[in-house]
Amino acid sequence: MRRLIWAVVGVVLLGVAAFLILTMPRTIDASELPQHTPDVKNGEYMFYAGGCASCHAAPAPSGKCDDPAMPDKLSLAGGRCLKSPYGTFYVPNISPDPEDGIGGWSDIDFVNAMMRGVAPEGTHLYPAFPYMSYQRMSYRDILDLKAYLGTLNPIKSKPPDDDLKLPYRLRRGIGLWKLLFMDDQQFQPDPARSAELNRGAYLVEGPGHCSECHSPRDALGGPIASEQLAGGSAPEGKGYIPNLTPGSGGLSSWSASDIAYALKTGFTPDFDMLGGTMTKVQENMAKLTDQDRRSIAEFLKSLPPVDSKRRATDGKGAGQSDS
Amino acid sequence: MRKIAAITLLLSFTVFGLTFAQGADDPVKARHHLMKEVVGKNMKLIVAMLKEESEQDAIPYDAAKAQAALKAISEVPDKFVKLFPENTSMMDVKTDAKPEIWDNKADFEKQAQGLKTKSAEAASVAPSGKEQLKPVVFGKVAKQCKICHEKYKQPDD
Repeated sequence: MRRLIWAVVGVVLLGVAAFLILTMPRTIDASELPQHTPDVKNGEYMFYAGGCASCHAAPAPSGKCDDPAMPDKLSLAGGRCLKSPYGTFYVPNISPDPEDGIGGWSDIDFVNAMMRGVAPEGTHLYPAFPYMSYQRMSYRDILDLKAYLGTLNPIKSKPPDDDLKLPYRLRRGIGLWKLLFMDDQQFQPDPARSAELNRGAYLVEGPGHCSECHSPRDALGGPIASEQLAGGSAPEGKGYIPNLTPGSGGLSSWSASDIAYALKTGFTPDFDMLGGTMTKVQENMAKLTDQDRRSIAEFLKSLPPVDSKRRATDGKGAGQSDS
Repeated sequence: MRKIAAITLLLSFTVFGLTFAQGADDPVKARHHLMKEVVGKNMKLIVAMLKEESEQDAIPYDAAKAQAALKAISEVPDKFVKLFPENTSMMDVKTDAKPEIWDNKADFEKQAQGLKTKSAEAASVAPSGKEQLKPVVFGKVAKQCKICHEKYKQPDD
């Protein structure tokens, strides 16, 4: 009997050890970073391309934590809440405050957060922070972004801890999710594509992180590569996010000009407006150059067409009339 | 004779009944029509006029047409706000109107008034010319559209 107990204890210990090993945070070494004098203007550009304010800007003090109003896009005190099927996430403070924000972070700290989803203390960050997409960015763009963030106002503010449902509370478990779904690959330009298409692909797959909302996910919350950007369930749980491919239910009836124009002004070809959570995204996209918006549009038009897999009760696809 | 009367009565009730069944649909259809056919189509016209001549789909600027289009838009909000009597988000009706409209009725109506005043302002600027109208349409009117569409409208899909 005693041997049995020891055997069970042994198995459990082995299991825990295996778990801890498998879920070890994997980080980039500081030696990988290029020598680079940061370009703060490009950092600002990446700030808009990356949509950082949409999550990290503090909500209106009088409003609820999920009120869309954003009084100051450059006040990155965090505190906004994201209600998801996994529980409620509270967005962190990324102002340059050394205690409450990221003022004390080194370059490699920031790169590892953005590209590996690992905090300086060595803990995993939840993939609500879209490092799955940001891992595609270049070191230079990320270092420029860090430099720009460093120019903003430091704010003393500690948002609440995440309030997640039970299995997801085990932060270490994210290590398993990362093993399954992260490829640690930066963006590789396709030599068969034009420079414009490659730029569009970079902006969409990297800082734009469009897939995080616009791509379908499997039961484990991982992206389905063959259905890239073909639409998915809203991250906050209700509603449907449109298909951006030329497949059925997607953007086939929109020209590249239509797409670029919508990103610039918010107007759809029917003169409806990109609404809901896309409003803030569009406001960020409006800060990009005409050329970059055009590149994004051309890239979307070049995607393999995937039909929307929505149910009949979800309503009509983007660009289709509703009468 | 009685059979005819009976059938007529039955048909009348059916038609009557169907009309009432459509009752909840009517405000939805009506408000949809105002937004799509009146605001949407007029905005399309205005924006086409405000494009650079070299741009695709640009049409020559016509101050009278622009003013009329903006005036048409400014007449929508008063009619529009009356079309939200019952909380249709709670009903089995297909609508883009979010429950927030009924939770924040006062703000919803304030934003509608905003569209009215801003498009009326744009209408008064239209005779001054294309370059004067652009910042009012894109800066003020479009901004106002966004406020409601962000808070109160289910994205169209």
